[in-house]
Amino acid sequence: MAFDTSTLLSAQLHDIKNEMQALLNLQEELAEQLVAHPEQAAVLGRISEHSNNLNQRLIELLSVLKIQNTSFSPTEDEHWLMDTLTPISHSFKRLKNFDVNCTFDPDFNQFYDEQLLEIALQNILGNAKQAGASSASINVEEFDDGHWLIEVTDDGPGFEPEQLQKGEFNPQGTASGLGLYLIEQAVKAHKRNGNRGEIIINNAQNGGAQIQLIFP
Amino acid sequence: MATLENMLAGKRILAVDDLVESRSAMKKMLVILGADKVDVAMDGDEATEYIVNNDYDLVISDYNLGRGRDGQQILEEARFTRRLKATSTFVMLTGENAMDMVMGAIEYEPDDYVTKPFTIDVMRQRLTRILTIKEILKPINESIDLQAKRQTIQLCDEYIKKQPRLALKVMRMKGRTLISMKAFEDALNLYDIILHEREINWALLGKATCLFHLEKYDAAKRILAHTITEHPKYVQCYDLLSKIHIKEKDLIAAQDALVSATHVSPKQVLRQMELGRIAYANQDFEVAESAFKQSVKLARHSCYRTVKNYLLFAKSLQSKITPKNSRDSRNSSTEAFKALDEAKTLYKENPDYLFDATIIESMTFTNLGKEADAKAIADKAESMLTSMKTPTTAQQLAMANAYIDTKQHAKAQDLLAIINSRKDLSRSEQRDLERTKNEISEQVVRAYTTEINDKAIEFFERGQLSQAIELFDKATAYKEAGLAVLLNAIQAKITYMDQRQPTREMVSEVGEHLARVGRMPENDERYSRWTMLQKSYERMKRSI
Repeated sequence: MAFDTSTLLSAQLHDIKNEMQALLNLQEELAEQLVAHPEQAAVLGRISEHSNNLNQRLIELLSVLKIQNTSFSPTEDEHWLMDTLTPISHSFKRLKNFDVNCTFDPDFNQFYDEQLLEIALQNILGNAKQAGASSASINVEEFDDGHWLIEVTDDGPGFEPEQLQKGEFNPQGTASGLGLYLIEQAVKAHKRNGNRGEIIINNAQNGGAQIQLIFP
Repeated sequence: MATLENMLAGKRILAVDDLVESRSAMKKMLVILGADKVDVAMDGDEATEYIVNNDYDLVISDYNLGRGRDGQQILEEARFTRRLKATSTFVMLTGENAMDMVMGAIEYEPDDYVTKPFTIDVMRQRLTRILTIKEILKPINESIDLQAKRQTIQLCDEYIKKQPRLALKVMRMKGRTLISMKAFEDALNLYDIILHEREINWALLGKATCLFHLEKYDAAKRILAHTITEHPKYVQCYDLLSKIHIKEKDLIAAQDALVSATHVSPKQVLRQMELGRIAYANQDFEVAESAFKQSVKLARHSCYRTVKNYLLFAKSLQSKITPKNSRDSRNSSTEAFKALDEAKTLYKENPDYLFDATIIESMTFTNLGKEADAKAIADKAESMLTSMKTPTTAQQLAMANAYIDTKQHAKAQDLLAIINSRKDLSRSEQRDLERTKNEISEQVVRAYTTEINDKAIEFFERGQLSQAIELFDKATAYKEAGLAVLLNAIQAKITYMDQRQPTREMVSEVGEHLARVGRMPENDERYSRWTMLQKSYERMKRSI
């Protein structure tokens, strides 16, 4: 009998997400109890790091499915960017000692697919950390015609000149898995009035990598 | 911005999750975040009970609650019954993103969705935002709770200017209020302004809703077709599409639209009920059966429970019930009886519902070929109908049909005559009446009159003329009464008048009977009897 792959995947992912949620909840609970036990708390910290990585991979998997499978179409809804970003920046600070500075209005809101943006930001910040940066700043800009962008600038060594010249991203050969390819796909999935999202990479004046996520 | 701790302190909160670990984790999380009054519920029924008995400021529910009702149903009931005010907050936890998650809403949507898996950090951030916005927009929501619609519009206009970051949220509230005020042109303008900036699905649906009410069906359909292409899971579009098809009298298309919606969102009870009704009207009993089965199940412990679900489910099953003892027929009849029993138990105080259920019970026995049982139950229905002070036409028609099904055609004819004399028949009742009349078999009525005739003859032969005449009158009241019956009636009445004395009334009755017999041909074996009775009649006529 033929089976519907997306239904099967969806059911499996649902169960995995429930398990993941339970795991994260228990870690939070344990962390509360281990406040007075720094040694054990440190081990738990490492476990949490792996759990968060696992969680991120799960979200990535969902995002890939979203982009490639019509059953998982992106959903652009009104969100507050600070709400999307704060948990990510907290986790980068706590688990990777990486600072994320937001220089935009905390009440800034826009239309985007929250899960796809999360995956894009996680990847950008993960790449920055991996490249040797210790912090990144995030700014936003809105334009009269309705399009807007997020600009992430890190304090690392910046992109290699070849990377900047190539101008296209493919799924293979990046240091952090799907990396820029996935970031680009996540932004490109956004559309408005016939326009699609895009990304622009550059090196900032301080020499760090700068990525602009442009939403239509 | 007030801290989350301050916002949660003293608030009455309900957390709903079917998994015991998630439930306690959610409670702990809320307590860590500052909540001090948290109740937990494990399923839709328990959640609804809590909501009915308490005033909650915040409900956080998982969408998927296992086998029973889902979070969306809890939300809809809570808002529908106004047990959860507009000023209260409902947060839905979903496995997927808001739109990926099947959106079953017909009218109500949560204040926000939080996607699983989430950390306490995510929850803190989201709750802070949601509750802050709720607090800012409190005056509008209070006005909505008071149903002060003009004031709501006025406040919305103020807030659109005052809170540009919340403008879209407020515009959405304004649009809904305008539609509820039937200010469709104004709402249409508002949605056009929003859509000029961006194609937002709720604004597209709002625009299509306005166009529907303004009877611009083609334009509404174009927008819906586009929205469905872009957001195939936005099921409210199918609901509206179905309504448009009904207006255009295309019930098949209306059914198809709702079938598409139920594929995406099978747990929405009002939609299932609507689908059942349309499919039943289309005589697509398979779809109707499945829709009513779902309706019974989903509405069992909800405010949407209605006797009609049970009755129409049992009726939809009838097409599968046959005298052949097949498994399908057996299962269907068992299901039908079960639904009817449940309806009779739930609505035992309502004679109208009990009558309706009894009629369908009799119908089920008829279809099973169990004639004696069918008649016994029809007799029960008959006594229920008799005890009603003012039965409706629909009830009388249902009884007449039960009479026909149980081969009591004469009784059916009597009842149809009563219905025929009613002055309050609607056009559809007139149609039903005519259809039922055509169901009556002349042959069966004639057989019935013959049966009465035989009993009357027995009385006649025993010399009990009054009783005989009474029965003959009953038999001859049917136009189908045969010549033999008429001749017997004439003979009984003439004998009666010979023994006592002729009365004008009875002579006139005899005259009417003879007129119905007409001229008897000479070669008929009853000719001489007829001639004799004719002469007796002439004699009696002269004597009065």
